[in-house]
Amino acid sequence: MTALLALRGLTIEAGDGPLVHTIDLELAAGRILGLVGESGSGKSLTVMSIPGLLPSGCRVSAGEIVFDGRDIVDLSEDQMRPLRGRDIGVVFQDPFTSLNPVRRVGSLLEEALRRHTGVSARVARDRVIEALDQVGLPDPVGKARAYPHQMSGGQRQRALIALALVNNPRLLIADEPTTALDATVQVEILDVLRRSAERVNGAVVFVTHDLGAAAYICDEIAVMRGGRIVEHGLVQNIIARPTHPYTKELLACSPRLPPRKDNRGQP
Amino acid sequence: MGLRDPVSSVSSGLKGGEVSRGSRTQAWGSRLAAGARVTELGIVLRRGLDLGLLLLGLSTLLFLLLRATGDPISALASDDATPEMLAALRTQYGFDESLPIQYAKFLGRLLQGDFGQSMASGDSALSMVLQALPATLLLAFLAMGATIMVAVPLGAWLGSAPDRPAQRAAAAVVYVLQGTPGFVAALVLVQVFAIQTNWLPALGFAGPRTWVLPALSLSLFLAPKLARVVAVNVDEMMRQDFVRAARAAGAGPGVVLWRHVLPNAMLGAVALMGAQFAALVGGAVVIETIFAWPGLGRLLVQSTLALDFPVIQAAALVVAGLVFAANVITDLVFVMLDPRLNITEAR
Amino acid sequence: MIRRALGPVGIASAVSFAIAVVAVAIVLSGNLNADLNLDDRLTGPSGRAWFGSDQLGRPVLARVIAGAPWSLGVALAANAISLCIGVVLGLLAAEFAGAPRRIILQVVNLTLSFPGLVAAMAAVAVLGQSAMAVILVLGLLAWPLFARVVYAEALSARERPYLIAARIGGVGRVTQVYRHILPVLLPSLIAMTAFHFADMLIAASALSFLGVGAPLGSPAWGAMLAESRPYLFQAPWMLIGPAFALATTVLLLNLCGDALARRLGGRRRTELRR
Repeated sequence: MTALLALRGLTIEAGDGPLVHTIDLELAAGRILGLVGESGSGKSLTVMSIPGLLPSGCRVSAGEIVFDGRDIVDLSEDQMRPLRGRDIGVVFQDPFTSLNPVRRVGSLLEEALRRHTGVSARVARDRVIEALDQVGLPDPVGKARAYPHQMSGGQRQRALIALALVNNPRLLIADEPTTALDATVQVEILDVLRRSAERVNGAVVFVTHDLGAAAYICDEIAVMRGGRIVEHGLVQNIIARPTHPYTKELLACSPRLPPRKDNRGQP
Repeated sequence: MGLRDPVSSVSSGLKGGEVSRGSRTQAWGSRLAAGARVTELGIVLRRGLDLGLLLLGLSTLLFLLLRATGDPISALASDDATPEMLAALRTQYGFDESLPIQYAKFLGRLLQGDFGQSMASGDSALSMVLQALPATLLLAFLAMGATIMVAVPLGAWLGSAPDRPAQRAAAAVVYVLQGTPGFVAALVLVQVFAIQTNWLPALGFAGPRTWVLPALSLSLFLAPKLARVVAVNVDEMMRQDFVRAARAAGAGPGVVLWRHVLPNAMLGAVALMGAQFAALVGGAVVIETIFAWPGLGRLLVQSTLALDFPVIQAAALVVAGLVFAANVITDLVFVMLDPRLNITEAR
Repeated sequence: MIRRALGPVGIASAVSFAIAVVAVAIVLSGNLNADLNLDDRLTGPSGRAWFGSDQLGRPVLARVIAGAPWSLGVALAANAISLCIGVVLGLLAAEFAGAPRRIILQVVNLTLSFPGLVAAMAAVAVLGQSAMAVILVLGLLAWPLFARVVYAEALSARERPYLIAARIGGVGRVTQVYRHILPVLLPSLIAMTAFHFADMLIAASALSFLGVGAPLGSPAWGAMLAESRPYLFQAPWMLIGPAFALATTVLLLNLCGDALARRLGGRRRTELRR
C-alpha cells in the first residue's frame, strides 16, 4: 500500500534548538495512527507541521513531508491554503475555545464547505445538516443554527469533527480531541472519530497523551518522547509486548478503556 | 446516540428549532417566550425608574446649587434699576417666596414639562433647548461616524500585525494624537485650515463646509483611543483558538480578519464607542464654543454665564436624558451583538 | 520600541538629563522673565523669547512655565480628592450589598450626569475665581471614575478563595479590606492615577479656556490658549506654546500610565482608560 502521508527525517526548530528530531512516519489511507507522548514530547508540533500551522517562531528545518506523493514542506502559505480543509482536516483539542463564539455553528461549516466547493447556499446548508447528523448530533437542524455556547462540550467536539470532515479530507489530524472532555464522553467521541474515518476511508493521525485512548481506536501507535519516536508498531504489539521502558511507563499509568468494538487487529 | 437516518429529518422540510412538533416542545417554547417578555418589561421599568430618580436628583441639586450662587435678579436687571423694579422682577419670577415653596412649585411645573421662560430672552426654556438639540445631535453623529470609519479599519490593521515596522510607526503617531486634548487639536486645525489657508470656514453652522472642522476636531480626539482599543482586541482575538481552527479549515487572512476576528473584537470596542457617543451627545462644550456651533453645549455655557436658571435646568436635564438614552442604546447593542448575552433559544 | 530597547531606567535618566539641560538653558537665556514689554509685542521667536511674545510683549515660554504650577497643581489636587473619595465609596459599595450599594451606585450615576460647567461656575460664584474652586469641582465630579473601577475589582476580589477563607475565619472587615483587597487594587489604581491626572489637566485647562477658575490674565495654559485666539493669524506662536506644553505633558503622563500598567500587572490598559 502506498503511503498517503510520509514524514521523512522531519526536524522542527524553534529559536533555541530543535524540538523535534528526525521523525520518520508513514501512514496509508484507511489507517489510524496514534501519536502518543507526554506534554512537551513534540507530538503536537510534529502533527501541526503537516498543514503548515506551526506556532510563530517554529519552523521545519530539515526533512520532508510527503502528502499524496508531493513534498509540501516548502509550500508557500498561498499554496498550502487550498489543501487545508479540503485534503487535510484538523480537529483541535479544546472544544470550548475552538469554535467562534459569535458565529452559528452551521455557518462555520458552510463557510468551509463553500470555500472548497462552489455549491449554492441551499445545497451547502443541507450538506451541513447532514454532516452534523453524521457525527451523531441530535437535532442537527437546530444545532446548525445554534451558537457554540448553547451546546455541551461533547456536542461541540462533535461539531468540530464535523467541521474538519465536511469536505471529506483524505487526512484527518486529531490533536488531543478528547483531553478536555469527561471520561464517558471521551469514548463516544472516539467512536465518532473512528466511524467517520471509516466512512470516507481516510487516514487519521490521532495525537494523545493517553495510551489507552490510542489503543482503543488506532491501528498503529508511535510513542514520542523528547522530540523523537522511541517505539513504533502495530497496536496489539505495543500493548501486549512493549519494548521501550517509556512505553511501559505510559502503559502502566493510562486509564482502562473498554475493549475495541470492531474486529480490527491485523492490518 | 447512534446513527439516525439522515434522510427523514432533513427531507421532511422542518425549519428552525422545531424538529418534533410534540406538545412538550411547544409548551417549552411558549414558556420561554413569555418569560422573555416579562423580563424585558421588568428591565424597562427598572431603567425608567432609574432615569426618573436621576432626573429628579439632578434637578433638585441644580435648584439648590443655583439658588446658592447668587441673585439672578440683580444680574438680569440693568444697572439703574430701582429697588422697586427689582422687587417686581423677583415677584414675577417667584424669587420672593420661601425656598421650600419655590421648590414645590418648581417640581410641580417640572412634572408637567414646564421649564419656565428664559430670563434673558423670554422664550420658553424648553423650546430653546429643543432648538439647540439638532445641532448637537448632528455633530455627535458626524463625529462618531467619522471616528468609527477611521478607527475601526485602522485598529484592525494595527492589531493584525502589531510588530511590523509600518504598524509600529503608525501606532506611535496614534499614541501622540491620543494625548492631544480635543480643543487644542481644534485650535490647531482652525489655525491651519481656516486662518492660514482659508480653505474652510472657522465658525458657524451653515452648510456642510462648516461641519468639517468641528467634526474633525472631535474625531481627532476620539479616534486614536478607539483605534487602540480595536487594535488590542484584534491582537488578542488573533491568538484565540477559533482563529487557528478557521485557518485550519482553509480560511485566508481576509476571511479570518473580517469574518472571524472583527466580530469578536468589536464586542470590546462597542463599550468605548457607546461611552464616546454618550459624551458627544452630552454636548461637546468647548468645541461648540470654539466653532460657535449652536448646540446644547454652547447654550449651556451662555445660560450659565448669564445665570439664566430655567434654561440651565432645561438644558442640563435634557442632556442627562440624552446621555442616559445613549447608554441604554449601547447596552441594547451589546445584547444584539453578543449571542452569549441573548436569552438562549429553546433547545 | 525605544522603550523596550533602552529599558525604563535608561529612559528615565535620559529624560531627566534632557529636562535638566533645557531647564538650565532656559534660566540662562533669561526666558524666565515674564514681564511686560510693550515694545516687543507680538514678535516672533527670538533669542530672548524662544516661543515669541504675546500681545502684551510677555514671552510666551516664560508664561507657560509660570502657568505650569496652576494647571499642574490643580490637576494633582483634584486627582487626589477624587482618588480618595472614589476608593472609599467604591470599597463601601463592594463590601455592603443591598441598600448602601444601590445608593452609592445611584449617586455615581447622578454625579456623572451632573453638568460640570454649571458646577464650576457655581463654585466660582461662591468661592471666587480661584484654584480651590476648580479643584473642588473637578475632584467632586470625577470620583465616580475611580469608584466604578474600584467597585468592580473589589467585587471580584471578594469572591476569591483566600478572601472567602478570611471571612469564614472571622477576619474583621476593615482588616480584610486593608490587608487583602487594597493590595490587589493597587496596581490598577496607580496606573489609573496617571491617566486621571492627564484627564484632570485637560479638564482644568478646558475650564480656564472658558474663563472659569483662573483669574484674569493668569498664565494658566487654558487661559493662554483662549488669549491666543484673536491673534491666531498674526502670532501663531501664542497658540503653539501652551498647546505644546499641554499636549506634551499629557503625552508623558500617558506614557507613565502605560509603563506603570505594564510593570505592575493590573487590569488591561484599555479597561482603565474609561
